[in-house]
Amino acid sequence: MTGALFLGWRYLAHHRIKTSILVAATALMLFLPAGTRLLVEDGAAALRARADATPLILGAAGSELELVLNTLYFHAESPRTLRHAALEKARATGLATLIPIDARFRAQGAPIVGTSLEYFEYRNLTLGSGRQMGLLGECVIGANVAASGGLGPGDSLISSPETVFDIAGIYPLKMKIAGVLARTGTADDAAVFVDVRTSWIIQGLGHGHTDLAKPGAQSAILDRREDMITANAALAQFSEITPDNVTGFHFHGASGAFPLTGVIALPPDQKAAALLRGRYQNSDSGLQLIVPKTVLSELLDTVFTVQNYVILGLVMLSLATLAVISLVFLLSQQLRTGEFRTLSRIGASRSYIALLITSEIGFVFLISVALATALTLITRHFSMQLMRAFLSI
Amino acid sequence: MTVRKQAQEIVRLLIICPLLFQMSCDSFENERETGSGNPSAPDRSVVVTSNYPLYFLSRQIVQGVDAAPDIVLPDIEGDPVHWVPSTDQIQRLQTADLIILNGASAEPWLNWISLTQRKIVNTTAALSDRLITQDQSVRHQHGPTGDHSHNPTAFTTWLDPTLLTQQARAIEHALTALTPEHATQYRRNMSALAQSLAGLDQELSKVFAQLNDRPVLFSHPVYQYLQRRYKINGESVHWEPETEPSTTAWIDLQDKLVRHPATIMIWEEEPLPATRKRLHDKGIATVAFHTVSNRPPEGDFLSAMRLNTQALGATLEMSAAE
Repeated sequence: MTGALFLGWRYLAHHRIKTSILVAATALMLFLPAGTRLLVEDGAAALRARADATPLILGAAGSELELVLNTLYFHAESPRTLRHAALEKARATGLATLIPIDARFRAQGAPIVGTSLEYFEYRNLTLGSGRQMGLLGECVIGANVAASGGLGPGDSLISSPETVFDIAGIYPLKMKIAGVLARTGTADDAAVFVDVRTSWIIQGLGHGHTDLAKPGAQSAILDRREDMITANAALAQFSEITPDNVTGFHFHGASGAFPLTGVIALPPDQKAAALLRGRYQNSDSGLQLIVPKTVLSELLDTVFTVQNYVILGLVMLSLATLAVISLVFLLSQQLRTGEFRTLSRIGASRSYIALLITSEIGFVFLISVALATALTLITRHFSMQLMRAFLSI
Repeated sequence: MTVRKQAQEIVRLLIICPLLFQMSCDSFENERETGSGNPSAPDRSVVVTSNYPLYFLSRQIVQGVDAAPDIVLPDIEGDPVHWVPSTDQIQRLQTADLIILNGASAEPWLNWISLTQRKIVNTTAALSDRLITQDQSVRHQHGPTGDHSHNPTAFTTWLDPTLLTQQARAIEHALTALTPEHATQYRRNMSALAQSLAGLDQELSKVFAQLNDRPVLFSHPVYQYLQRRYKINGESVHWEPETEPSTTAWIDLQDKLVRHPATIMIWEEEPLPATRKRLHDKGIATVAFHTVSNRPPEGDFLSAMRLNTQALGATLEMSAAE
């Protein structure tokens, strides 16, 4: 019996290319349906976890999904905005802790997220190195941003224009990195966090320049009247906020009119959540208060429906592959008739030859199963990274 | 003991004594920064105040309370309204359990640093209808549109003891919310503090009543609440005590005196002797009335305000005698 197994193994080893193709086809046939299901389920679990931890999101009326993706994953290209006054109004109800999110700009490809310190407490984000952002213009960066850019506390990042066509739109702001967040395995690892007022400065709503009332600013003055100084184009604006020039930074207009892309609302209990939601139902204020869990569930239901069709297709494909593999083995037996006759003449029984053929098929399937298992384990290990790479979450 | 051993002992003492002295100095510095006579226990809450009057009020409210929050006044050089917190100070503010602010534009640094909103207590939040808005700043614009001005509220609310009492009540509420187990003691201390502030209000009323609507000049526009509370017939200039006023400033003063014939000028600090003499030559007596926005060199807020009252009273008597 061991002789038949040995001969079967040697046959496969001798015909390496044929064996490799058979093993690869069989392994993929086994792996693809399982791997697809695994990827979708793990991705869905990750999406759900972040959404479940976010009770409510306040945002501008429009696409609910875009609002959720941008607030949770800082994802949208040109998100709709609401006024900061809407946050103040919601805060005045006392029904929830409100966390602003302004995620529209990027630095070295990473989203710049303007928020408040409450965000870090709420997401349990701790510092891996450095300190929390303190002055305007400082940022803390996610672990992936630090690793990919080789950045650390004390280094700087420069904000990019909102779009490539927005060359004159915003001033690039040089932001000092105060700290690097510990890795969390979430979208926070890939973000640059700043104070929401810093994101307004990036947008150009606030700026810093020398005090026009001071004697040194004469060359930058176009016109001076008793109660009004008009600056000319020579007035240089600061491109970096430092302890020395921070007092020269100011905002134009009321902060209530400044934009946010979303507001995370954290009501203390279900009652407060219900009361708060009631205030925005059938509201014609141009705002919507949504439950991210519900929005994502609807998205995931669609994803799962599509996934079932994909898996059905893969099963059909697997059956076809199985048929082709069977054909390959059958044809192989026919080609090897002479070989089996020789074996019979030197004393091999029919059962011995049957065992030889079965061992060859068995070895191919055993190796394929081992390979498919290894691929599945690798997929499970890297599923989150793969999902983030594909979905940019 | 041999001579050699004695010499070794002396050398040892010479090394240890400066070290002990340095350690005692360090501990004193820490006391100054934290404002607490007791070493900070790690489990005690930390409350940071943004100026000296708030620090004084908070300390009065927690006085005598065991394991009360540690009240801290950051080490601020000069007037706290011009404070730009250092990185370490920002971190201290961020890790505090409570940040007690004056509000009324007294903390412009709030515009530049990131703090947790729920930790902030604005002691004048409920007094918005009693705050005085200034409209004296220069407007400016960048290019043809977008003119604006920085138009803060008058911030020295603590110069009106009735407002200060309201601020103290806001602090008491915040401290009670932070450490509710001490509520009874806080309330008792608050009652005593309210009485002290009422006494100060009476003293100030008495001394300012002597003015009897005589015109007064203020060296700087920081006495708005004092002026309103005690109905002082005053006008402000923008003079600094440590700087000699310019010729233009003297001409402006001369113009002002035509319609506002003041005989007393109230300063934040004693002016330069030359300035004082020149004002005296014009028949204007000078008196320092410290705003006590930062820690006084000695005593506390109440004693510093009493010194102000006495100095003003003496000047008024002298002025009347002349």
